[in-house]
Amino acid sequence: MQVAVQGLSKAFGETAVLHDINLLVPEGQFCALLGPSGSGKTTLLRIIAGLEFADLGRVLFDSTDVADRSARDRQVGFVFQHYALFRHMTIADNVAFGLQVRERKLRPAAPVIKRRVAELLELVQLADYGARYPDQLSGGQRQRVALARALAIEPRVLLLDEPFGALDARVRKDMRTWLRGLQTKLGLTSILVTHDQDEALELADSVAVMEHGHIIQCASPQAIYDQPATPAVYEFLGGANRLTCRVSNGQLFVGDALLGSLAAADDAAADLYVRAHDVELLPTAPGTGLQGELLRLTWGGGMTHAQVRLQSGDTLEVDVPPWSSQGHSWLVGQAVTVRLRRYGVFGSLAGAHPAAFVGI
Amino acid sequence: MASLAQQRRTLPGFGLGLGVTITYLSLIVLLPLATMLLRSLGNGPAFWWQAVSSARVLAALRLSFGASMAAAAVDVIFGLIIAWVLVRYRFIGRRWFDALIDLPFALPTAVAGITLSALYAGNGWLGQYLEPWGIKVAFTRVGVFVALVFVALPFIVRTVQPVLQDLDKECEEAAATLGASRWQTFRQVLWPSLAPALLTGFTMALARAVGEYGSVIFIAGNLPRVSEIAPLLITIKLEQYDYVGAAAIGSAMLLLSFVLLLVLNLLQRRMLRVQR
Repeated sequence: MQVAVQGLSKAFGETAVLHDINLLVPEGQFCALLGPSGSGKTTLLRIIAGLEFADLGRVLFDSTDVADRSARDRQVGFVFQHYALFRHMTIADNVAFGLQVRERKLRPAAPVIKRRVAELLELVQLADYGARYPDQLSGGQRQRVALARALAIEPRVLLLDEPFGALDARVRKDMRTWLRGLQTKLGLTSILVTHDQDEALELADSVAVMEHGHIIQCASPQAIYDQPATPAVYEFLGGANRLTCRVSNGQLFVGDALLGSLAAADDAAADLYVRAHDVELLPTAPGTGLQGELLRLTWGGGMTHAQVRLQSGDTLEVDVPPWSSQGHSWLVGQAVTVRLRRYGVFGSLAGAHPAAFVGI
Repeated sequence: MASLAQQRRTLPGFGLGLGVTITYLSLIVLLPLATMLLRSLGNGPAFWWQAVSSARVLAALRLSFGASMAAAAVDVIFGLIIAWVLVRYRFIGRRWFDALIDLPFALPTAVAGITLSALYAGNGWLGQYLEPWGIKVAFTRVGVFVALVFVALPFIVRTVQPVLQDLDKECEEAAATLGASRWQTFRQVLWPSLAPALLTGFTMALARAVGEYGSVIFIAGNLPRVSEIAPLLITIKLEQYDYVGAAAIGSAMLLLSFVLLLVLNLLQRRMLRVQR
């Protein structure tokens, strides 16, 4: 089923939490709503589920407007961050709940329910846990039970509200891979709310980045990562160095150093964003790149993190891969050259973001 | 037991703590109760039986326990609703209402009794409207019931409130997205958590109501065999210097209360075991 949100706005009292939201999730696609806390992403998900209602705008399931349908009648599978399992019921009863509460005409016969529960527990790899209680399970297992419970009603769309937020890092990673596999297998339209960029980029077919109640960019994970629409997206997706730069006669300067040519408005101040792993650290080589001094080195396992002070006065974080130094060791205080391999430039005038992306 | 006490603990003091507990409970609870029991049998078991099985005493015991159970039961229903409203909704004056709940705790019971009888007397604010309908509250058994409803209410509200506060709202939302109706959500998701607390509240309300004296005697009219409660009968016996007779009724009340509390506790334990 396709989910469409059109012109949706919502305020809690005086505080507006969503402004004119438009979103389209095609059938079978996995969409992630990514944003910091307070960006309105959870409220949007709850409105789609019918747990909250919008002041303005429409929510369409395929082509039916579901605005006045309660959560009960929307047939959505909702997975909560803190599982929301029924503690006094066994795992099997939890999973069966959605079928058990159906009115008699629509309720499957007891043996059918039992078989369905067994299938679902098999699907979430908890076949032997049916007789246990939620308190006896680990966080990851509980979330899988919550998922099985949501899937039991054969939902038309799966909504996940920070489903891995309460799990520790390793379990989270396993669950992520596993969930993506399951979603592809079931072909179920899914919407995930998260503040974890890795999770969004790895899981989703499309990512909607939200801030202050707006969707500031909605695109494929790769497009979001490679061509962030605004500095905010850059900063939200793993952070980036910001350098003040200047465009003059179609040339881009950082301080006095010429970086390259750029087709943009002339004589404009601009911001340049570059991620730490898109910067190359070289021994001094005059004329090729930006000159600076090595301020600090921190060993970080795979990458060494270097901090460089440029001649322009800006400091730059650089990730140095272990194979790049070619036997030569870096010393704090030495003069270095950095080359920016991939970066984005944004006009710093308020509101105007003539973005340009340069990649080598 | 010994190994339990000998284990090293972060906070020491098991021995001392247990000692204080046993001494204190013996001194404050066990000793007076034992004295009363002994006293009640002072003139032999036959006298005890005679004192307890007279028609007047039986009627008083029946009224005391019957009205208490009825009052506690009614308070369970309305106490749950009140606690629900206070926990779940935000409205002007909520804190004020919340503070009001404790008033029956704090009020001297005689004050409550006088106020209630003034309200419900034939010419009182409420009584004058009830009387034409043939509903007599003051100076009847209904009056006893009304007074007990008043004093027992806080016990229900205050035991259910924290449980309601701890309920996970997401569980109700989960039930809704799974297609459950409001009633199904209440019955299958909320009730199993609420029931043990309600039973605790019922037990405490009942215990309080059975022992209630001050608020009841003013409104009850205290007609022997009709609207006379057991605690009052004890006072009457005492005023007649019939100490053994008073102690006999007291011990009978103690016995009945003990059996009731035991049954309620067993019931609760079973309830908690069913839901682990």
